[in-house]
Amino acid sequence: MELNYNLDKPAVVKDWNKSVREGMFIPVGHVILTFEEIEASGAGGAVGKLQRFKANKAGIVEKLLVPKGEVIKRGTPLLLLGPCKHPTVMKDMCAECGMDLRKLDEPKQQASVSMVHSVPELRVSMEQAQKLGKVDEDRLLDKRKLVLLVDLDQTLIHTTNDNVPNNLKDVFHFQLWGHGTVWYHTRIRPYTQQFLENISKLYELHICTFGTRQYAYTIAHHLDPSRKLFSDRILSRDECFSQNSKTANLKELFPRGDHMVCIIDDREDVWNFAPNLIHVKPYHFFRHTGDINAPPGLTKKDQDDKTGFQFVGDKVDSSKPPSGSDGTDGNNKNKGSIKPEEASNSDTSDAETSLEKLNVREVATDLNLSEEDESDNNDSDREDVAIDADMEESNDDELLKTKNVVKSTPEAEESSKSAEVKEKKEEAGNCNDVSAVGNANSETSPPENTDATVSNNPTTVEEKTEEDAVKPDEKMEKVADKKPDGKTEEEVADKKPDEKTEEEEVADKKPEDKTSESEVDGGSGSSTSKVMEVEDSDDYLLYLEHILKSIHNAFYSLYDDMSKRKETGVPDVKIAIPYVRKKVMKNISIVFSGVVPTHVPLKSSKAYQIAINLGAQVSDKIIPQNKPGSSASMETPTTHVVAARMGTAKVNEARRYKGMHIVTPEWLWTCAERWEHVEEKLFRLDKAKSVRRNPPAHCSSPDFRREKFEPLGPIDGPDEQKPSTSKGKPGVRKERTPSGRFMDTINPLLSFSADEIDTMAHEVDDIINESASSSSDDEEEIQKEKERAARRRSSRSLSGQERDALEDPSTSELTKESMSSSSSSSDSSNEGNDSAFGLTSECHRKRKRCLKTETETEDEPISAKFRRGEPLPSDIDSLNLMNASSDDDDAEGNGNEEDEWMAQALEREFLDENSQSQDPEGFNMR
Amino acid sequence: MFYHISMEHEILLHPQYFGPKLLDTVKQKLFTEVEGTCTGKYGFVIAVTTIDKIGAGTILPGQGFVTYPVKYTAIVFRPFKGEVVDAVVTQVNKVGMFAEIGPLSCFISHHSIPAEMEFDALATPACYKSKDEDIVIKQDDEIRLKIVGTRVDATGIFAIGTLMDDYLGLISS
Repeated sequence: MELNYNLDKPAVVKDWNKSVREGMFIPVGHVILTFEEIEASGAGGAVGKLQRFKANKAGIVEKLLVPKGEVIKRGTPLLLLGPCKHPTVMKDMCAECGMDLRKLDEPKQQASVSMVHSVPELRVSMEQAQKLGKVDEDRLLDKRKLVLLVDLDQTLIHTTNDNVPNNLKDVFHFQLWGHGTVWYHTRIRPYTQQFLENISKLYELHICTFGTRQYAYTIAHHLDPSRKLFSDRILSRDECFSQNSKTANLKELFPRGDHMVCIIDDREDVWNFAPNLIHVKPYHFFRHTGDINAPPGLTKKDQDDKTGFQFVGDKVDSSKPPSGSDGTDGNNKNKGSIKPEEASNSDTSDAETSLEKLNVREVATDLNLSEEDESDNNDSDREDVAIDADMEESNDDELLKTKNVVKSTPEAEESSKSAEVKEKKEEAGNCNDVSAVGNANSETSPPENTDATVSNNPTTVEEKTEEDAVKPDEKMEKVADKKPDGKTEEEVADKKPDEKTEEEEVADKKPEDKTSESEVDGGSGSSTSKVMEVEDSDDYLLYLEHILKSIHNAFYSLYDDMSKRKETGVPDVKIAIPYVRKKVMKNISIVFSGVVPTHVPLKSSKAYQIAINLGAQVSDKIIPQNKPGSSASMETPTTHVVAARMGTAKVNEARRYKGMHIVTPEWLWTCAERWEHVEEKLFRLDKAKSVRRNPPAHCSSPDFRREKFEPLGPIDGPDEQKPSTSKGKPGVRKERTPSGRFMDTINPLLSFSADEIDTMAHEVDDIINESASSSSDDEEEIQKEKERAARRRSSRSLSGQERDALEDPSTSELTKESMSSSSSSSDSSNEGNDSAFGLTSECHRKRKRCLKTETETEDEPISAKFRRGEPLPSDIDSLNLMNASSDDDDAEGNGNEEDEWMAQALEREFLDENSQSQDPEGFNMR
Repeated sequence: MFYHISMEHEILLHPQYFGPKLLDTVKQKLFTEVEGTCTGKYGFVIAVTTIDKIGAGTILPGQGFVTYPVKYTAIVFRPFKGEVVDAVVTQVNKVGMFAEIGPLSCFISHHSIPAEMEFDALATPACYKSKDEDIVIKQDDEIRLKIVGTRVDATGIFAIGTLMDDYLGLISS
């Protein structure tokens, strides 16, 4: 198609319009050149003044046909035009020529890349995208910046929908959908402003969140009111292509590849374990809320568990002591205001099963915890106001408190129970006035029945059972709670050197969520004054900032190198990140002792992978330092022995060498979390130290996962998840292992003696025989089992250790025992009625139990592994070692784990159809 | 372009409004039902100026509702291809910019922005600016643009604009 000169008088082309270039789109009326008219005779030269010639046709310029200075006459072709290729399309309209593409027959559109975060309808062709991407890239390189994709929930903020006090500091509240809709309460992670401010100098910040658009913009507005940091670079759920992966959008936003893109997120799965992802430690402020905007299917729950478990547990115990020491006071308050709701609690849970199955589990587990926390927290508030907010002091207080707690367990339990009801009250909005305060089991007084759908008498019974169903959790909680408490106290009392270092750390405000005691401090410190100025020990962002800075440095030093060598191209962040990470433990050679279970090959253990990813060398035996002067052998001498307990051969050997650090696995986890060489002194191996053999979820670096699991597609199809209930990760239950049976990978019963196993087998048989009618029994058994284990362990530790403070744990054990027996007795009393009740209640309970198992057992990394059909080295590890070394072990910290673990394992077995099989191989494995 | 045209609309009235103020109700209802809407044919109805005639109501059998045919004149805004309008910039990004002409939203591709105007992502807010920075187009600025295409749906209109012509671009005021 040609564009012709169509004026009568001949003219001389003076200049082409700059915008008329090949490949450019020329709309009608666009000025294409300037000309001067000349006399028709052609003799006299230019006469007229400068005029502009406008296009009379639209199209893409393919060729300029007339050079400058040429004389043109009517009909002279000026341009060769091609049809518009519609490179930019907005709402199915070409943004270049304005053509409505829906009216075109051809369905294929060039423009397919949605490059703008906030406007997914705006698409450009790949070509265009590349061009724009190139511009971006050049700009970034010019400014020496990188791109940082920032997740919101649990990375920079933590949001909850639950009721929280409205005078919390650094928490803002908003409603997204106008009046009467749900309130959001968002806590901004400590140091966020500073972090963003600093990091925005090195990175172009983008928000990538699974929250809705409005949510994302609201949060962004709070984080960045002047829109300096994020501008419009906000990608929300509304713009996400995939429901549970953010990776898809990445290609669109960065059409030239993600080689300059760094990601910070608290979950790796949504990024498909991308190597340029920095897995941050999830920020968990509101105790029982996970990620409210987690992708469907991979929701809240697992997230909640992952962080929630350690955090919730910790927080619970942190806030617990005050309530305990409050003693009657706190309890009375609770009783007065809250207790009545116990009834409604069970009711609600009942109702919910029928109405809203999704929430059942929450009611059963989460809320228990949370409510407990909350009210406890309140208590502690009051208390702390009374006493002093000072940390040291509160520490001492705690000491006393803990003792009280342990002694006054029943009370504490009660208060917690009542506490849990509190929120129910708010939810249900009914104000039952109940005087009944006494035993939780006898709690089923008339008020409850107000809600109850069933008639009076049966309801009571049902409620009782309901309560029982709920109870085990609580007890578990109890167990979990008490241990750390005991320990704190003990440690405080002992004032061991480690403990001091821990305290120092707390003072330094380094986040040690792993050491329960520091949490305790943080927690009690957290609920200090009336102003609700919550002290948050989380300072991960400081470390993250450091990490990001080093990545930026590494990237640009690579870039400078390349440009020095005249190499074109840009380095890849995906190389820079592992590089930075590997520098962390350069020149360190690690030997693991008691960390990797014997039957797991060293190289496939998680600890190994983490160490390798940090650049350390790992060997299976200690290599002593070479004598100076002697030629270095192939292997570097061991510098660190990471040991889970004292007294192993390697530890003993290491003791002989000077300068060899003997540290706990915590050291490794902390290094992995912060990407820095943490001072070993803080993690010296010691008897009193609690040890986590499993790395925290966020420590696991994406690298090795990717290597291993790259073939995996998107984590869980949404379809897959539907069949099973609610928010858990459903696939997991069914396909824990390739064979689908838990037994095949690991035998939880390993830690029992032969007699115990026999007894258990017996019990199991009984349960199976009883089958449906008494499902509550299962839990009872488990409970008993747990209790037994706990007792056993405590007694062991008593004998094995010289513990002055040990009285308390043991008493707590006893109290627990008594509690359990009381509950079990009530159970049995209920049994008759229960069976009369028929299916519904039973079903509820069953379901609840299922859910509970899931909830409790699912630790993110484990479940992730399960999903992939992997064995669970770390768990076996903890089990085996624990068993073997229970004398050395810190009974409080680990035993707790062990308990839960065994209980869960058992429960799982019960759930299993073929639970008869007490795999004999399992025993042989020992 | 704005038009002052007469149009018709049917008002459906519930029997509860039957009474002395019936016609007032009809008028009120007309305003609420018509103003601010958009039809493909006439564009956006900006304002009803006069109500010319309220016809005889017809009772719908079996319901009791009454329909009144109403003739009214209104100012409407109907964008056309080639029209030059003033707009307010709402968003600026690397692909182009969005602007609003009253109720009409419009997109201008970066190709349709004069080549001497370059996107500056680093400025806050992001903007298009000429090399010597004497012209800066950013969010909330007023620009004059030419509409090159419209998409008319039953419920709304979307336009594509350009700044590539004489006297288009930032309106300096």
